[in-house]
Amino acid sequence: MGWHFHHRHPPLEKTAERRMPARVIFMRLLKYLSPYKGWIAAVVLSVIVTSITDIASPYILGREIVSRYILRGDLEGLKAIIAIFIGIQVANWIANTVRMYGLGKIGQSLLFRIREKVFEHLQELSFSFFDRSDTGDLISRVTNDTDAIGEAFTSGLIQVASDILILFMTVAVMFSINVQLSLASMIVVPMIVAIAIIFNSKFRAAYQMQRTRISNVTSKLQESISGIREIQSFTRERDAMKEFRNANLENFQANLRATKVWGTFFPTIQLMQAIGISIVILYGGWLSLNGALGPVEDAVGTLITFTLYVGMFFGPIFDLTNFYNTIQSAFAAAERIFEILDVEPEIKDSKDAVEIPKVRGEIEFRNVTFGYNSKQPVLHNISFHIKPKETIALVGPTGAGKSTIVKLLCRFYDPQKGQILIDGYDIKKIKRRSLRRQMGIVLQETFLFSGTIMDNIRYGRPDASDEMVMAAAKLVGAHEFIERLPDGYNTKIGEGGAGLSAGQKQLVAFARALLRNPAILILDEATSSIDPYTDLLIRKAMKLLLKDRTSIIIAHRLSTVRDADRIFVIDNGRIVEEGNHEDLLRKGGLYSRLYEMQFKEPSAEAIASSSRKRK
Amino acid sequence: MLNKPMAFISKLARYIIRRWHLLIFMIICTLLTTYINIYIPRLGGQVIKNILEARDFNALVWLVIQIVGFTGVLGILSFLSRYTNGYFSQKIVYEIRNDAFRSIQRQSLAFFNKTDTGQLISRATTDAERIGRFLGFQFRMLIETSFLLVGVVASMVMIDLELTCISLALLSLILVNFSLFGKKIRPVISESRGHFARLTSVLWESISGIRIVRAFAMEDYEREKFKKPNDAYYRSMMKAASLRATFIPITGLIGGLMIATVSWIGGLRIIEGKMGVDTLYVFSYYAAMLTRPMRLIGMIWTGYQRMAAAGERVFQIIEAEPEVKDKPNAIELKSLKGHIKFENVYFGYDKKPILKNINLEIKPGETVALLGPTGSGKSTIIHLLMRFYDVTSGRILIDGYDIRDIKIRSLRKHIGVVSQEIFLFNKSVRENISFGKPDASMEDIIRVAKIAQAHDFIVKLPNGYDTVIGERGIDLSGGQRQRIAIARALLLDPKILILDDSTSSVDVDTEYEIQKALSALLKNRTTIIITQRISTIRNADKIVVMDNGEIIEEGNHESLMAKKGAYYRLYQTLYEAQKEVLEAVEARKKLEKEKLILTRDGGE
Ligand SMILES: Nc1ncnc2c1ncn2[C@@H]1O[C@H](COP(=O)(O)OP(=O)(O)OP(=O)(O)O)[C@@H](O)[C@H]1O
Ligand SMILES: Nc1ncnc2c1ncn2[C@@H]1O[C@H](COP(=O)(O)OP(=O)(O)OP(=O)(O)O)[C@@H](O)[C@H]1O
Ligand SMILES: [Mg+2]
Ligand SMILES: [Mg+2]
Repeated sequence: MGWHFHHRHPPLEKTAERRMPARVIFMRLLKYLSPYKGWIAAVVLSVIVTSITDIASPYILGREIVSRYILRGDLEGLKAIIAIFIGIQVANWIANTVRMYGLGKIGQSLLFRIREKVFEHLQELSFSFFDRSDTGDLISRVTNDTDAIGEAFTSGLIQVASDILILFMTVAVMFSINVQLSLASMIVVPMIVAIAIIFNSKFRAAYQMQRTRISNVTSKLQESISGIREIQSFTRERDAMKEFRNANLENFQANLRATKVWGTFFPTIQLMQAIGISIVILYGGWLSLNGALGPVEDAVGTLITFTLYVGMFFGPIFDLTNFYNTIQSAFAAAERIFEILDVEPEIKDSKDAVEIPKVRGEIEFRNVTFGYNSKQPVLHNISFHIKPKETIALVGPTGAGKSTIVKLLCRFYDPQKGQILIDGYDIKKIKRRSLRRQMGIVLQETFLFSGTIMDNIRYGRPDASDEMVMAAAKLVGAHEFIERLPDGYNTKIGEGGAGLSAGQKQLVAFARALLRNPAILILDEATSSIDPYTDLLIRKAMKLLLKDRTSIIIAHRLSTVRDADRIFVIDNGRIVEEGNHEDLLRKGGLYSRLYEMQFKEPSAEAIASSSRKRK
Repeated sequence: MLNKPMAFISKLARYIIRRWHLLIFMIICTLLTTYINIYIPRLGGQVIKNILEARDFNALVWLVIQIVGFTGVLGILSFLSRYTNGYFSQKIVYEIRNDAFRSIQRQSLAFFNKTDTGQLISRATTDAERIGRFLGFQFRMLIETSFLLVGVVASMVMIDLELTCISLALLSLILVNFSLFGKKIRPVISESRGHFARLTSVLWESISGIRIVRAFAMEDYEREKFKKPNDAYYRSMMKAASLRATFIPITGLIGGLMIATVSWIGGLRIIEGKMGVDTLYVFSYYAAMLTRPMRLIGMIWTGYQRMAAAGERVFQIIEAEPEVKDKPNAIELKSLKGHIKFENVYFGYDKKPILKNINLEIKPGETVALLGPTGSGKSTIIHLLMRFYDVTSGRILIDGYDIRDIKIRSLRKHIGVVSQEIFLFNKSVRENISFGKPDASMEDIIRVAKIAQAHDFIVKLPNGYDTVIGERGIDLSGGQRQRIAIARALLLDPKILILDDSTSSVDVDTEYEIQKALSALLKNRTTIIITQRISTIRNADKIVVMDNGEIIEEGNHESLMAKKGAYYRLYQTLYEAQKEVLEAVEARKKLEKEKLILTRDGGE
């Protein structure tokens, strides 16, 4: 199954073109709103109230206040109608408050859930996904893109409902007042539709571009921060700046393009509105001059009402198109988020996966073949069997595939061929968590979290007591240096372990793995940066520890592997030798050559002679 | 450091003033639009008057043509002002981002030890964007609104002073409302920005440490960790939303009440015959127009608060002074002999002293090996030499110059370093090797790759030298990464070469080959090697043993062995092992001889 890594895990798209139909994106976003049915109902209700009150106002102002009362001098009526008008305003106010609060609630909850969901999903995705995607882009998706959804989608969605409502009600009221005038004011509608269609694709392209470009900016920024030491030592600041400036410039241009589209669209619609109102005035004026609108008092009121309505009628149309374009931006953002959510974790627990009990630690590789991509196998048909509580060392040239073996054992990747068994269970049939819980791993690349040293060592076992943490630190010889730090175990270290020396980081990572008291302990170059003295001390302490667990140790420093029960020599993805230290030395193969090499140097004879002299 | 909002404004103003001509153009456009906006309602009033009194259709047509014409002009003007404004604000965001980036690049390592990457990213992206949003929208609104306010109020006063006063009295309630609102929302917004940055940090760390998270099956724990800032951010955003929901709709209410009042008073006057309907129409139109600026003031205010919170965070980066920087009269080092001298150097990353009284002289062309236990300060010495940090006291001399008197870039140009923790860029192998010298020829690249013993595996990669190595160079094994880093440093052909534990992940066989190839190269350059492997050390001209931030022994192999100190003990532990090998080798040779005899015997 894993043969198609490249096809199944393409890097996340960075192109500016949208691949998901709007309808699909919309429906998926809607799904996130389902828990807020109550609030949605409240918002809808308040929207109806505000719409009705909004629509009633012009009617009251024009046809009632002006025509019926002011122009006809009816003071009592005026009092009453103004009281009603105030009542309507109050209702409008209350409804607006409810609507805004509800929208905030729904919108923020939506964003909260999307961020949570994406984060959780990222926790599920396989290594091969992270191998191919860059952190800056992922971060931009979770932060900038959710933001964009929030700004546009949530309030926009409800707004659109209320707008449609207003639109229809306005039209209905207009027609009920005067059919001819209404028809006249509708003349511009087809034009508006045409304009919206023309602008649609422009908006879409512009917004999509904006989103991709900002994520490029984030990526560049992120890389240059992570690589700051290299940039400064190699004095490449100017080039880094140039690269960033380019990404930034592209982002600027994308934004400008969006502004341009938006800047032309808005006045065009405004002009349409003016034309609409003018038609009403002209036609209405002509009708009223001909007396077709009744007495002149009524005519003026009707005209005022109508012009206000045409204004209102454009409001929603304007909003709708506005919404349509912000929603484009939101969709572009949503799509980028869904792209993450849609990546299927390559390695998943199968349905019949079991929780395994505490394992004995028997490990077997059966004809395992694996490559990070299908064309180039890194491991070729590897088979071996490790008995419980055995200590196994993997040695071999760099790039031979040692770390890869370990990664397969932890099921970071699945082999393309063959099987890996732990205690006789195929690891594909074991729940991943329950598998990894049994293991303590020190990876070749040390990674520490920002926080205290205590928290870092405790990382794999949050419930461990302080004593246990210290015991683990003592075992790996980290206790002394930790005690010497300003705040001891509570010393805060920065991101990636800043504040510790490389060897100290390794020791902390080592203690972290030990604290789990794992049935299977994996040490991938766990002490490569540690001085031989400390290493010796650790090795002594380890002898005790390794006795009651299965251990796999990878090291180039062969003194570290000498005491292993068996040593596998890996070369080019194959096990080329196997046996204990003495056997292998006697055999005179790769191992013994490597072992001798340790002491050899360009003037090897000199060592031999000088050491003999001192004897 | 940037607590006063005024300080922040003056900083932003610098960016704005740099584009003063755009600003002026924008202001002119806005002035004209405001004028037209104020003029159009008058045309409406004339329409009503016409219908009520003159009843002249031709005049009506003329009025309407004016309305449409003016709207057209309005459209063009508003496009111009929007576009200029967009250009203006985006350009400023662009500049601010560049400045932030430049400042980040200039910071010394101490800054990065203290600051989370996620924080930096969120400041330079999202926060900068906020500034843009303010300048691109609220700022224009501010200009537009203030013109509108003046224009409309003036027109209203001309129509009816008493009514104007009444309306303004009511409208001032809106101002009161918003100043209250502003006061309330300000802390909430800056709080929410803080939460957001924290959220970004957690996200960043969790993604970059994903392998450890996985290996330790701590996904649930990470989820909890993310939940905290996500929750907090949600809550502060909700707080802001409910404040908005409380305060903003009140504006609408006040506006409505004002219209009611105007209609009532105006109505009375009309009934009494003191006023025409058209006047009332124009007046209430203006009054309604006023509610918009009032409402906008609220929006501008919130926008401003948001921007101020964001802007403060961005400018904190831009204004951060690098701890290590060039002196004004720093000298440019054209060439270098490679003489290094540490004189009574003391140093600590923070309060705690790390290096104590370091005195060390390295002559041009010498190879010096630094060794000592983990955390003894070896890498720190390198950091000081590269001037990633400045010494607390004492001085470091290169070719007799105090390195603080040399331009940092010119100092670093002469030093090739393979640092202990390697970072490779998300670029091709070739670009990574030529990182310090982008114009290097392919031959040179291959030559150094061969010395670093990297050529053989590179050509086996899918695209050879053009293979892009993934983020953090994850597509390569540990030893492969180190070899690329060695090649990268060698390509510089530096006068001073520093290898900080640079073969820890390389197997001994390859290491031996590297050393062999290097030995010719090291002849005429000063080299500092830090390593945990004894074989590398023996050949050094000088061996420096450190412990706990001090140099405890110094000399060559022979003299240190004779001293029977720390170096001697270290060597002994390895020597034990070595004895064993030699014995094993002897044994094997014997066995082989016997086997040979055996086979010969069998053969004959
Ligand atoms: N994520 C990855 N994607 C693609 N190729 C990879 C990846 N990780 C490792 N490789 C390749 O797989 C091969 C084996 O790598 P591995 O890390 O197992 O070597 P190793 O034996 O641990 O070497 P070292 O001693 O240097 O750590 C190398 O050629 C490496 O380039
Ligand atoms: N950025 C930092 N901030 C504070 N303390 C630091 C920082 N970097 C290192 N230290 C401390 O300085 C001391 C010396 O660290 P240094 O990295 O120089 O050790 P080292 O000799 O290179 O060790 P190793 O062999 O493990 O690489 C250590 O105790 C470490 O805890
Ligand atoms: Mg490895
Ligand atoms: Mg170091």
